[in-house]
Amino acid sequence: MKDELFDRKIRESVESFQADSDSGLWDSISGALARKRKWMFIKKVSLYGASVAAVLLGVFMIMSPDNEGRLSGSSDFSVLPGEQLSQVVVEEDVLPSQEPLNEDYVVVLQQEVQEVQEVPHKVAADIPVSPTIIAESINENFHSGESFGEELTENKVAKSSENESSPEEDSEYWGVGEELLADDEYFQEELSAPRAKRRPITVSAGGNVSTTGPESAYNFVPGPSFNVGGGHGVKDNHSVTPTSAPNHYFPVSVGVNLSYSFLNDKLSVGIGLNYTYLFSRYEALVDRRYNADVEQSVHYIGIPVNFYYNIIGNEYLTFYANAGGMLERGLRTDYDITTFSGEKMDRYTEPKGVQWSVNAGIGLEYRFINFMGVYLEPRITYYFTDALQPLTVRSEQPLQFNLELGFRFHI
Amino acid sequence: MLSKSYSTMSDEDLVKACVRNNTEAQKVLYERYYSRMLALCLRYSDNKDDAKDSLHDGFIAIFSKISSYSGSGSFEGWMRRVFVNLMLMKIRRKDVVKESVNVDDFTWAIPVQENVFDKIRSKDVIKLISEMPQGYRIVFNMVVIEGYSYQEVAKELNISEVSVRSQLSRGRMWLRNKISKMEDMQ
Repeated sequence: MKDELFDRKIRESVESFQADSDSGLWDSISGALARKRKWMFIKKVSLYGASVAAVLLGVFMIMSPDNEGRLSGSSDFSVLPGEQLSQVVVEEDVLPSQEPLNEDYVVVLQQEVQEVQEVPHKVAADIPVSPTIIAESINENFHSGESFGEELTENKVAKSSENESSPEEDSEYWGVGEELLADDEYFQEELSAPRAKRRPITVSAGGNVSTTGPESAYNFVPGPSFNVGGGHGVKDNHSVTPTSAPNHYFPVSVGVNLSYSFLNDKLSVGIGLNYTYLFSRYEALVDRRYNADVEQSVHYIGIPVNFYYNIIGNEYLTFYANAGGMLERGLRTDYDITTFSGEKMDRYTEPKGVQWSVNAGIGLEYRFINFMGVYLEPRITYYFTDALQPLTVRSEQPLQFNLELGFRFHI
Repeated sequence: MLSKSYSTMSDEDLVKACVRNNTEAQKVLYERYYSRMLALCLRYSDNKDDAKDSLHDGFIAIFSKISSYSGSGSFEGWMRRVFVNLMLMKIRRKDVVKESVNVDDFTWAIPVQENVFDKIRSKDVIKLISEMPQGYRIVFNMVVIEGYSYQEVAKELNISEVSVRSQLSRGRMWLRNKISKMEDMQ
């Protein structure tokens, strides 16, 4: 038998193979397809969610009265020197400052807004479709999240006139399947590669900013931010008593967190270390003698404890809720003072007591590689302040909106 | 269109429905092509379990990317290409394409009678193909069954056209011998 005949007989024999379809296999396929659709949906929602969050953050910043991220002070605020004594201890006497004052303190935060663009699925009917074009179309369709365009199919399928295929016709698809499969990250990871190993311990590092509300939202009670001595008959009376509503800048925090997940990764508990910087400007009566401009910097170190509940997710994206609290201790409060007559001085104190806060929010983490992800956590925080804590945005606006962004390492 | 029974629909109509994630249409297409794609997977795989895994992955790829089917050729042709490329991708991962093949297990091809194919079941032919040495098997499948040119196979497997011809020739001889032995046993 000649090779051609032998090949044809083999081909005919192979083509005549019949087998009953496996319903169990179909159940598995349809289940995997459903999971994939869900994953695509989460991906799309996450993208839109991140875009909305970025826009909201931009709006928050733009709504600030000036472009420096601060609120303007009230010029007609009445001067009411405070008489309350606090436990603050003076660590350093008034000294002429050798450092020039920073005239402007600018906090700029920019968030890139990603836009999801619809990619038209048009292929001209009279233009031969090369594998490259098809592959690009696949890329665009997949990355835009619009894999299933009805119009596309109707246009394309309408061109199909016969069911018979020839090697010449089929050569149009040369490599398409492979590129198609290789390009599909879900396919590669979900079906072909072993599933990601469970990693119960995560270490995260991130930072967050909080908003400052409009001035009218402040609960500003005139009183000393800094006061020691001042009793009747005491000569050395050091104090800084705000005489205008302060301009509070965006609080900025950075920190690290260690968390452990349990209950099949549904619940996690985390503990960390957090540093917060709070900056304010106001006019004040200093030492009951000088009217001055004051720049106040407060440094806090805190230990956050949070619980995380995974709402939905897969090995790439996790959407979760979190709630917890933080115990903070003021490390130091610095005052850079410029009297109205131009004299400069600085002081610092070590705040006593602790700052408690509770928080709740939601979060979204995208694991772009197996052991590492980026997360975004918008949350609401309430600060319990007392007389021992310095005057900050927290004491005037205890309810704060935080937006935290960071990296999380799964080990 | 939706009122129409899916089982009587043409491939093109089913594809349109599949693009809209219609699971009934997907199932009809799955059942329609199950045998042919299973045969393809069996021919390229070492064993039945691997073939079933590939069938599973292949159908997921098909339904996930069905909107990329241009409609200019037959749907089955497109489907076959996707499946073949999936098989080649898996084979490459195992890095067995360039494995040297054992040529000591046959000498010369024994003549095969034309009527022998009337006596051998198609599943036995597929089984024989799946038992071929890997190098022969891939080339034989691509050229003889799928209709790829030597040039295409050489490019896809990153080997020379001479090697393609050589492996195809040896593959044919290997298969002829096996079929002749099977004929003798019957």
